[in-house]
Amino acid sequence: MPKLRKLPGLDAVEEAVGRATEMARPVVISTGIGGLTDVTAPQTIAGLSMVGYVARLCARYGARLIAPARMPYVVPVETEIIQTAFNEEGKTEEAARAGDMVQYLSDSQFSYTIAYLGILRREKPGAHIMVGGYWAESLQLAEVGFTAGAVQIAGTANTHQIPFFVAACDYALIGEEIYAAGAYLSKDPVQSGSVAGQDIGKAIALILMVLGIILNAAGVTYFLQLLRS
Amino acid sequence: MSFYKRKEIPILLTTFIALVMIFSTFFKVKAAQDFASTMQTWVLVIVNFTVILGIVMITRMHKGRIEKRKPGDNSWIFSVWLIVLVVFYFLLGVYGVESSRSATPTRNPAFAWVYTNINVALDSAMYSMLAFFISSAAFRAFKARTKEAAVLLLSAAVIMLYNAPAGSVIFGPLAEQFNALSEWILNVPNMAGFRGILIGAAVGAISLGIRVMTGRERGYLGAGE
Repeated sequence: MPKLRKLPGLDAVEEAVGRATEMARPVVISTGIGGLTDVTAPQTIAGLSMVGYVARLCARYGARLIAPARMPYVVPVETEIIQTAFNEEGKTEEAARAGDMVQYLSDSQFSYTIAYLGILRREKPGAHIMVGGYWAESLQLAEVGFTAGAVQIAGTANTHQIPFFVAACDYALIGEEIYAAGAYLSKDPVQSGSVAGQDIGKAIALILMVLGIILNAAGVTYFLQLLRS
Repeated sequence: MSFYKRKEIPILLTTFIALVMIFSTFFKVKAAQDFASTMQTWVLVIVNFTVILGIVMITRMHKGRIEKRKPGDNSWIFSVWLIVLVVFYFLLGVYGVESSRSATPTRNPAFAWVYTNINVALDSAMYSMLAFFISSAAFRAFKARTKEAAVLLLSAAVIMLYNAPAGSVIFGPLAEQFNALSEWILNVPNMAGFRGILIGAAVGAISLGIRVMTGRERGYLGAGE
């Protein structure tokens, strides 16, 4: 099995859920404001993997889970994931209430944000986990989560929002780390292999960039034209 | 529900549709492109129908809050207000579509007025609050506890002064050199890090896509393996 470097943000998830349980506070998790039908889908899928993992931990420890959602069509997916997690941990009674754990707030970005901030203020979560596509609301959520006293773990691949998460959260997952979350947490050798394969992908991208620079400097624009067409 | 129904069929569907979509993007085969176009229409129809699901869920949730209201806690009034607004805005939207004979309700003056003067104004107010959140986050983050944090603090201070009108006043005759330094920070080390993260994220997304298509990544189907 390939050795993956430690990701403190992912290692801290279990500790954060445990802390929330001890404090008798809920765990709030969200997958961002992206959907499943556009370019942000990979981020949402990464977030959904995290929802499954966190739901399993909540079921195991008996922590209350709240999952605010922006897209209505993500709600049934999240509900199914949470229900499966609770069932697999033998908490069938709670699994039947998975629909109440996922809260659809609003399709509008800032209406969603306001409602989400209200949840953070009222519920005072012990752990606040955000993995997925976040835009301007990222810092608002992270700051209010901080004032609510939650341990915060956040990750996004939206480069403009990463600094906000780094500044305001206890642990931040940067870019590709969110895509590796599912593989990292599953401990599955094949999935871990694909994460190690990403490094090969990056090496290839680097070689292509250097080649591109050399060819462009030499006046060879054939590949550039080919890619443009 | 059987294992095959829960896991294998969704994975097969995901893989098949993803392969056709990728194929139709890179190869100009009419059958594949027609299929991809039909799939995209299906997605639009399904996504739009889930809005009804959203309305039902939000109404059910707030109806529950109203029913379970406790003495002394008046927060249920907001739930009543929310349901009233959902119904009002829905009816106004339907009226807008009907009266303007257009699929865009904002062509109706009443709907457009509510949208522009309430919705847009509230959204803008919420967005502008970001400035205060940035200040409080910056106050906590910009503490030179480590060497890395000191570099962050210094570069952030330079960029803030560069963007603020006060920067060029403070540096007076050295303003041009200061601006050049700020632009260098933005365009060289900042851009290098930015692009590194971007390339890593793109490769990571491709890797995740392959895992989803091969059925290895099953998180989106439920937590179980």
